[in-house]
Amino acid sequence: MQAYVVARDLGKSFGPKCVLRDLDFTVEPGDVVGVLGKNGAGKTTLLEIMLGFSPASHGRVSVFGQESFALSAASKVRIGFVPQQDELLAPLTARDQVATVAAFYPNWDAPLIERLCNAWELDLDERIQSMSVGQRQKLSILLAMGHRPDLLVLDEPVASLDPIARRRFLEQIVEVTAEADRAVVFSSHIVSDVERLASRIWIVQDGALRWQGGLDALKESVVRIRIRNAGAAEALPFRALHVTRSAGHLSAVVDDWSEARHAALCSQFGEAIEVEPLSLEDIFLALHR
Amino acid sequence: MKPVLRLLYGYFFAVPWLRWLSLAGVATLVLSALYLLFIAQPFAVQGLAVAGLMALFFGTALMPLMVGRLARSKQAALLPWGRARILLSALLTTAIVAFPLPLLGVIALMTVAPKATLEAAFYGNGNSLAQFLTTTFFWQMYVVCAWQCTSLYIVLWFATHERGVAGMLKSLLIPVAVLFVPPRFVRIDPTISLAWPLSLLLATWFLIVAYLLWWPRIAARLTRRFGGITATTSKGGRVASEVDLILELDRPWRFALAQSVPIAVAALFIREPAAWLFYLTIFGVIAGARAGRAAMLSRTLWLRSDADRRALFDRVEKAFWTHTGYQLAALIALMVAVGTFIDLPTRFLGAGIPLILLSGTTTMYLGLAMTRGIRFGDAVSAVALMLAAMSIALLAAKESTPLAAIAGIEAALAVATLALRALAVRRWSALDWSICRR
Repeated sequence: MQAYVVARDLGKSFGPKCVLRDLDFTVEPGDVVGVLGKNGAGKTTLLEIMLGFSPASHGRVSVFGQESFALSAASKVRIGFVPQQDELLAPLTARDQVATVAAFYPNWDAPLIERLCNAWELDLDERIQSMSVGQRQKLSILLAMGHRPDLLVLDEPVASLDPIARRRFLEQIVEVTAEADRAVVFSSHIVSDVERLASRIWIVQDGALRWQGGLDALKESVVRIRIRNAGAAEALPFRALHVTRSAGHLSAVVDDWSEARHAALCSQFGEAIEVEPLSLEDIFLALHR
Repeated sequence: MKPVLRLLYGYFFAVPWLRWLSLAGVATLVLSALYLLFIAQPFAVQGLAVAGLMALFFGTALMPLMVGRLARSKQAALLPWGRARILLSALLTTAIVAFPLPLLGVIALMTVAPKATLEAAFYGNGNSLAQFLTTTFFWQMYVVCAWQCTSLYIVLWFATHERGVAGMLKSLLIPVAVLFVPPRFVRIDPTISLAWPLSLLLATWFLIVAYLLWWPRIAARLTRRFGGITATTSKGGRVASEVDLILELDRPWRFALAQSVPIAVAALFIREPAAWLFYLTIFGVIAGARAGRAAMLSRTLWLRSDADRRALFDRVEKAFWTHTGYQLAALIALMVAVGTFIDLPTRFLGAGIPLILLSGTTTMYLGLAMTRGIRFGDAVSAVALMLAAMSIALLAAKESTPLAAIAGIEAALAVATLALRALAVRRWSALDWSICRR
């Protein structure tokens, strides 16, 4: 099946400031992509260029085979988007807001919205201006899901949700992607959520994709090694992301971990080596040190 | 069409107090039409029809804000034909709101006005007069009304979207055209062409379409071509008291001086005392209207001072008096200058100065009394106040109206101002900032 999103040599500059550079990526049907990055790394810009809100400065990105900056109405119907800041109409009730957006889609799934409203304890008769930030975020997510989009893009969707709502949201995303041919791309600072949900990870660092690939592959690639009784002058035979020494022990976080590297270390340090897998949060922190 | 109809429903009926205003407007207009058709007393129905039109217009007052917010949202870019449908809904709203006035106008002329007078003005026979009224005259009026509605919606957009001097200038310049155009293009005169008002309407809508549909793409392509536009900030420091800064009332002289621009432009086109009083009353109302956000903005003051709610009201009231005072003082000076320049009658100043002072202060206290957002009562009071001020302006400009009668009405407006102040004091004493959030 054709990839939903294909980006080649994608870059974006605002005047002299380069925000994104040389990005190549794809989003396939069934992917759940978690986008991680520090504040200002370029996550939001990346998602916005991907959906055609803003043109790329160079390179190209296509969604459903069309250039994202000129998406047709037929392609737009297949996309759902939750922006970082909600764009709800404050004077309306949630029900009126839902009805307004629903009118644009021929395939709006009203029973799904009704069911999710009950599950997420959202009162549709409440006026948006009197809703809390978390309730508004829930409503924004519902609006993006109501037409059962093939590609759901969420920019920090759970930032204001309480733990219960976050868990329900994650369950819902799992349910959505369980249906064939759906794809989800979401950015978040809550790494544990990304770890629980994403099948693929993009780590954006200084405008570039520092890592993209499967979560398992990432965890196998970035590990912590501990070497007992390593001499003070002894160095690793390859570059490490982070090295600490204490009481004769050496601890290092390395990327590009492989059997060959393991073998190289074993030949240098013998059996005194331990390899410890890292959580996604530890990997993220190590990559940003 | 379904999304467009849904948007229309949203503009007219989704907000309770606007829903009642819209329905009241429709009911009043239907009543006016029936009254004209069966009882045939145009002068008795005039006030009713104007009130209905105002109610219908203000019933859709949130339309510009909603269209602006929707059209510029990222969501609209992903909705199928999103911006085009939003734009169409705005156009249809304008078409609906502009419809009753020409219809009532034609009914009044067809059923009520003395036929001989009309025929003399028209210099034609009865049949062709009827034909003229139901075709050319109706369309002239309709096109001009549609353009006026469009312009007033744009004024509402600027007034609610841009709160600085630039927004005020734009809001006050457009009414000059709104006052200037209709008398020139709507007359019972078969030689008048529809081409000019139609061109004006089309040009205005072309600009709106360009702004909403094409500008985001043009701006994006310009960014792609020339790189981003870096925003610049003023290097000048803001020197003002903390209260003024928090209430966004610093540099009141800028607002006061800025008023001279639209008044100078208006002096080139407007000569009629009634139009001038009407126009200057709008300035007075706008000068006081900034107080509508006072309760919400004062939240920060509460945390930064040891004043209780009553004392806080006194400080806020004082700050608004200073700010509004600058604007009203400049406005009266400009009014005297205009009166001298155009040689307006003395009663123009005699009745006009208190009217402007009262419109500014009444609106200011109405704004200060809005401590829970705009509720139905506040909206009705605002519309009633605006109608009252405009009616007094029109009455005061008439030579036949005794000055004593004007003074009496203005005294009643002064009493209303005191009542609104008392209401504001009472509401501020129990001010709940959690229900007047930004």
